[in-house]
Amino acid sequence: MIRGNPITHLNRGIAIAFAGVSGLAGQATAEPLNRGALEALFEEPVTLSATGAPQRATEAPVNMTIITQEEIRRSGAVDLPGVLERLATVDVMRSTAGQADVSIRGYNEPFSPRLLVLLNGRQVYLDDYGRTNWDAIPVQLGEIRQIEVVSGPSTALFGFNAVAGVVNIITFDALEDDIDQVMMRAGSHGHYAGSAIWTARLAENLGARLSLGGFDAQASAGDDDLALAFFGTEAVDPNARSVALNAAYDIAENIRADFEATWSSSERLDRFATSLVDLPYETSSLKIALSADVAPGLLSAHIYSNDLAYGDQDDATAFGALDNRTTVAAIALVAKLAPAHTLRIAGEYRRNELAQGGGDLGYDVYSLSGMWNWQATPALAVTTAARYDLLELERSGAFVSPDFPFANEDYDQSFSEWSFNLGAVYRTSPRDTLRLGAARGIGSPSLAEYGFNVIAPDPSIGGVVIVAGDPSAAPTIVSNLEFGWDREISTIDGRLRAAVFLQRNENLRSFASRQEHFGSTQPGRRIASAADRGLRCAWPRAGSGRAPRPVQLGCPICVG
Amino acid sequence: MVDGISSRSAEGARMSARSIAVLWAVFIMFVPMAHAATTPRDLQAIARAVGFINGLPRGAVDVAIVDGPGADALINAMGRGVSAGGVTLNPRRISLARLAQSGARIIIVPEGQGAAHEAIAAAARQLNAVTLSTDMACVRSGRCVVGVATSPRVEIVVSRAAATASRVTFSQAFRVMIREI
Repeated sequence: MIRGNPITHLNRGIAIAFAGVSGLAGQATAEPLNRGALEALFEEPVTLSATGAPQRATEAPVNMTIITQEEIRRSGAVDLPGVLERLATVDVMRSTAGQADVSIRGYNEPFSPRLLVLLNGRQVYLDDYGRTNWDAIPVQLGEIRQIEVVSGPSTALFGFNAVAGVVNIITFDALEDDIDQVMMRAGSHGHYAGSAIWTARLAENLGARLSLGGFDAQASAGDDDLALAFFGTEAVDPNARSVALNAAYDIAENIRADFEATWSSSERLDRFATSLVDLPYETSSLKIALSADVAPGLLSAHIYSNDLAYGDQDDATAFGALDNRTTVAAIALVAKLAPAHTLRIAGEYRRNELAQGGGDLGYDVYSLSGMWNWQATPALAVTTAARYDLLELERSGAFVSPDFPFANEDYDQSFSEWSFNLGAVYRTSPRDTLRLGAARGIGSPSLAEYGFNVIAPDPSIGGVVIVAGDPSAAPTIVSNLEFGWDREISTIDGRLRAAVFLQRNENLRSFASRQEHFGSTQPGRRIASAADRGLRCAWPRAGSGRAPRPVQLGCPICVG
Repeated sequence: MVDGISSRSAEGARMSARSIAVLWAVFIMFVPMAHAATTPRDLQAIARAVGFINGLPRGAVDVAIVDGPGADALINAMGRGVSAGGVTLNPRRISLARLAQSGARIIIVPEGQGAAHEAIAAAARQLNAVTLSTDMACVRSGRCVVGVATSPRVEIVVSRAAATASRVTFSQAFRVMIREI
């Protein structure tokens, strides 16, 4: 339950905030999956991000940290990267005012494509580069129930982009949790921010939550210098706006529908590899989800559409302007077939379309996946998950130059890949848990890598170059072996979490080479293969979830 | 000399330890052990678990507390009712003889009523009622449906045989997260 304590944030200067968060205990568990009620029962966060089936956080067979609302509030962070950078496993790189790139286990770079970021299961990373614009994610910190951070590949559950890890942002329930909050903040560098969250119980079985927020700030002097050197003008002042409407409707005692509509915009100077872009983003989305508690198990289905407009396609001078639509439909069934055996089967279809420079690039992905959790003994659980993805690429329309190096037929490409996650969790004592995991993850090339259709200015050569991508680009394959140890420390109501891992990346790609990007027709650079050995240990969060203490002592060590 | 004193002291200590062990063994053999009381945390977990049982009413509901050993302590612990998860459990003392005619849908079995487990289970089957207890032995024997433990961590154990016999079903998400035996 959340009570109406005033919240004060300090942000780079004077901060003024007032907020009222009130909660209702209404947890009659009519709907198929009531996270709040399950969390209250088991006295710890409940997640679906490890196996797709509901699980207690302490029993997840992956390296996962869950950041609760209490921890977000106590952190004083004012944005999502600020919340995440407190984790020992996460690297946050802030390149310009407003731009932040987040990575797990290294390989961070501007427009990093190795992290899968979801908002209530809907992808909010952008498919153009596979990157995440954190300012454009239409969620306010006050409406987040928890952020689930998975380290290591999780393609077998989530599909492409879950290469280095997964960040799944879970908001409060529009029907069960009453969140009302107003926040205003002011700081140095012309920083003004505000947000409002309002929840309404429209009927006994219908609830809705409206949230909106945004900020304005001044570009830093360093950003102005960069922009002056590149564009001949000062940097755009960073700003963002977002609005989200969530609704939940209990159709029957065992059937529930969820609806989400969002819109967001953001603008800032983006440092991309060694180049700069300052085009405005605009995103919107629609999502409908159904879940049902039926005889065989927990059945869920959703369909959503994400739209991204980057720059103005009608503006011929707008380098990189594009429209991207991603449509995803998925269905899954989680069933406990026997006391020790839980199965999950799922299917997903994804359509991705990129309109740019008069051409249309797109691909379809067909996926089937399965998960089997075997509770071998009360202390030992073994989880096996596998997924098959088939991607079919296509292109139509014009090219930006007669010198473009590819024809539309060159884009008739496809690939199929298997991915898997194996995990064993052994509770050696009430306080100690050992985890052993092995995974094979797949990182599909982004739309930019497959086929941009842009003429770009290149001051270094005093002219322009064609940015074309490569339709034969191969996916990144990540192999990961990991051993972890968790120990509850009751004296601090916390937990020690340590892990060692061995990770190998094949066909690792990067945008971090300007010469490769602008001097040739390939926007990405393949760095052959790389292997990492790592050690991580941290006191990540409270053990029981009853009195969390946001203590983070980390010693991440990566040896490449 | 010093070694001699040391040796005698060590021998004395060993004898003392042996005496204490013998006295302790006699104590635990002949003194009836008090049953672990059902704690407020246990009761909260029981109330929350009730919220995941299909077909039960929400809000304030009467629960039968079988009269006998442990009943007084349990009823005292529940006070004027235990509220959690949208459910308020109001205790009603029912004698074992009248349990089958009580119409109860929820029965909480106090610790220490092992001898009555079979009779309680028979009444629960007749009533299609769910039996909950912190006495895990009742669940392991297939006579109670739901076992709840909260220390050192929350553990929920469900006897499938008892649940089937009493026609008790649970939400699927709950089933996935608990241990069935």
